[in-house]
Amino acid sequence: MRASVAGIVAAATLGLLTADTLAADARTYTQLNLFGDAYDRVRRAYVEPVADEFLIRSAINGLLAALDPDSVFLTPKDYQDLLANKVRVYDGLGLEITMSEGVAAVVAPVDGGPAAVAGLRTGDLIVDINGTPVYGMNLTETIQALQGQPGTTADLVIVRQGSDPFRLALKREAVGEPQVTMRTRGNEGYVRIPYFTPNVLAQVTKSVNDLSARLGDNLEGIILDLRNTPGGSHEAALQVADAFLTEGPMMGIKGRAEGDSKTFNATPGDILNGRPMVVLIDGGTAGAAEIVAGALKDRGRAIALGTTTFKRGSAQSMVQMGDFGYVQLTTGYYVTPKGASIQNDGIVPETVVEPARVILPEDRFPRRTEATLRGALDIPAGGRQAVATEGAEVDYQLARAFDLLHALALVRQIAAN
Amino acid sequence: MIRTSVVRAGLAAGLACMLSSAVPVQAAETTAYQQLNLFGNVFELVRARYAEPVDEQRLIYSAINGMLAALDPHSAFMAAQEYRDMQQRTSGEFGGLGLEVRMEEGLVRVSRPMEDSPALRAGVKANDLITHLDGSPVLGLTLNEAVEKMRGRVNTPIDLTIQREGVAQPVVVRVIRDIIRQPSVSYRLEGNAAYIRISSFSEQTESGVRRAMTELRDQLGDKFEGVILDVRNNPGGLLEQSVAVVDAFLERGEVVSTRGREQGNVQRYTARRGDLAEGRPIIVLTNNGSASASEIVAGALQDHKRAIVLGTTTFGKGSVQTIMPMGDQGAMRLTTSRYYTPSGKSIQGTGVVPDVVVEQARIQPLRTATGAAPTAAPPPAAGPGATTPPDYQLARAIDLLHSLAVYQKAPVVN
Repeated sequence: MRASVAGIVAAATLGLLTADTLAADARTYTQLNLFGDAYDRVRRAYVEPVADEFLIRSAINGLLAALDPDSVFLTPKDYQDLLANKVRVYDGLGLEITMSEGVAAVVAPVDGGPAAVAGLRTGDLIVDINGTPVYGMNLTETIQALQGQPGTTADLVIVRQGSDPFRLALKREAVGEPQVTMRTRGNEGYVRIPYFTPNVLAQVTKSVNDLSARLGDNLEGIILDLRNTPGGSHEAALQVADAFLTEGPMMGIKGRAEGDSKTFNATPGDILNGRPMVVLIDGGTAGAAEIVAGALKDRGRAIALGTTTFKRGSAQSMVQMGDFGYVQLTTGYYVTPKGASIQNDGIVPETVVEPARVILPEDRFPRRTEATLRGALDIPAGGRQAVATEGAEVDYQLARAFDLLHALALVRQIAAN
Repeated sequence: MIRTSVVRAGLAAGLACMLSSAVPVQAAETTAYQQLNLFGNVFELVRARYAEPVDEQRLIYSAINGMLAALDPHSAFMAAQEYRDMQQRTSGEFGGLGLEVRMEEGLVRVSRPMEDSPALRAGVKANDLITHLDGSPVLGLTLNEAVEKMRGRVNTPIDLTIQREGVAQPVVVRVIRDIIRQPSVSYRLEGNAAYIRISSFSEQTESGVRRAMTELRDQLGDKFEGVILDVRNNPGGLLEQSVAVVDAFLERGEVVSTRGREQGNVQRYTARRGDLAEGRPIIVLTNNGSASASEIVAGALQDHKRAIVLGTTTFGKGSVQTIMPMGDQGAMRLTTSRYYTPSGKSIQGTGVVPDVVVEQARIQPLRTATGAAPTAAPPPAAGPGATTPPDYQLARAIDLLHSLAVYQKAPVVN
């Protein structure tokens, strides 16, 4: 019985292969045989009966987990949940994770969520969730363990570089879909994408339109803030990149198998009409956010400012396995128009600015200027006003981005005159 | 996608042939085949389409390990080299660092470096937190896996990355592996008691216990008051050896029984005549690190009321693993039976609960009225060397054993 169970898979698989690969096939046969042997022994000798489905599911999980965290098996129900957008990583704790060395690694917390408020950071490792070790779980299981009803608590054990492991109790909230926000500083616009939800393009377009409506022709350009934007939908990312690019390649996927490589090209139209852009990135800029940053940077559409991104750039394909479910398999890697691999290289900013806080000098007395002198001439109507220090930026990277954008606008004005 | 469907067709054809053969195949077997086909399909998909070329052997090993690890924490796959290492280790060709460690929040905490060990010489200290082994993270490893990684051939180096309290930057310490002499059995006199420490159950355990008893009884003669069997932090080992140790102190009766999956697949181990302690009291010292074979000893002697178990509740591992060689590809360690103490209890999950619960407390002497520290003898040291803290549990065991001896010798008043 044992030999036949093992043999059937090996023989059937070998039947497909051509003669010139026979040596390799013999090795494959040996390996499949080994698995069949192990499976059969466990079925017969384990201390208690175990469902075949459980054994094979665990084996498939083990096999896929050895590849990468994003290659996973989905039951039909898992798949339906995915389609219905029920698996929203930002729900509950507001936390995007990946797997690293068998435990959960924080990609970045989502703006305003419990994880962000509690100060979780990119690179923090979650080793235990509610008393259950994360080791041995795959990404799907870990996300399920983190999720729960609003009001319930997740007890986490966190390992952070440079400190002893510590416990953190996070209360889950109905975080809701993260929203794109915008504001202005002077004539510069600022757009923040906290997460690439499927609706992100509409929100970005609305933000840019609102900025245009507010500032009209004075709009000098925008800062697209993708710092700590942990990812989301790759399709939505490509839509956002396309919104600012009018033609040519935005991003490519390089696969090993034929048919798994492709190039995504931009379609006509730029919602910002070619005005300058600065894209702000950091170590928490991951996945979908890296796709946007890479496309805009490599095509010369935006200047990337900040620090190197997270490096999460694999592309998955969904393959149905009969009635059993689906395999989500990594079949390629994203490559920028200039050939950088997001997975290996990340997006490297043209202008490196480390995160810092700006501490402004305290004004103990009003500063003396001509206008403060007694008997100074009145400022004529319509004369130049000093740029107010209104809302001076304490976020150093952002301050530098605003300065850069303003300088770009000045250079453009000079060139135009 | 096309390729995948072809694979499925091929497998289905193979399956059909099998099913149409003369042998009637039960429904359960059909499910087994269908599931195995599913595995074959996933394997083929990965081979054909994964973003990078794959190492098939690694994939299959990972699959087997995934299957076994999902069953219980003690079932695992050992690749050929690992299996050879495991076999060689018992022959003493393998070296270690000489560290007593425990797992804390996914990292390895040093309980203490052993006397005259490579780790001590290299400057590893008690309470150090080991985060990386040869640069790769400890996180994600089980304690056993981490210990396996620290072991290796004698004279080979390993770099430990250590977080030490009060030191901001991690320290990297290089330790050269050496043979760690940790005899299965060590012994000494504690007052008029025979103190026998069993650190693991290897093939030398029974003979070690017999030698210890002979030697200590020779030294004590008529003053012999009893035996303290210390199985604290003893992770277990060979089932037969634990049975032999119990047998050495038990005149008759069942020691332990193991039950496999099949009905009637019960194996009973019983004691033969003879008691090395000649009926004198025995105390078994246990703690949370006493597992498996240690629990068989504690459970059997407790059930027969042959010993008083003192300390803290044991680990609670009530399963037996079988090593199954897989040709030249390594071996599987698979849980094949459970064991039960003589009273029919499984200690799985619950452990052996001591008759006398004594935590390993730290004792701080109070100053007496005259301002001087009490002059009573301090509790015995936990091991050789003056720097180790006193062993409170052992002190309580010695007291108890002595009290029992006094009580038994006392004249009957009525």
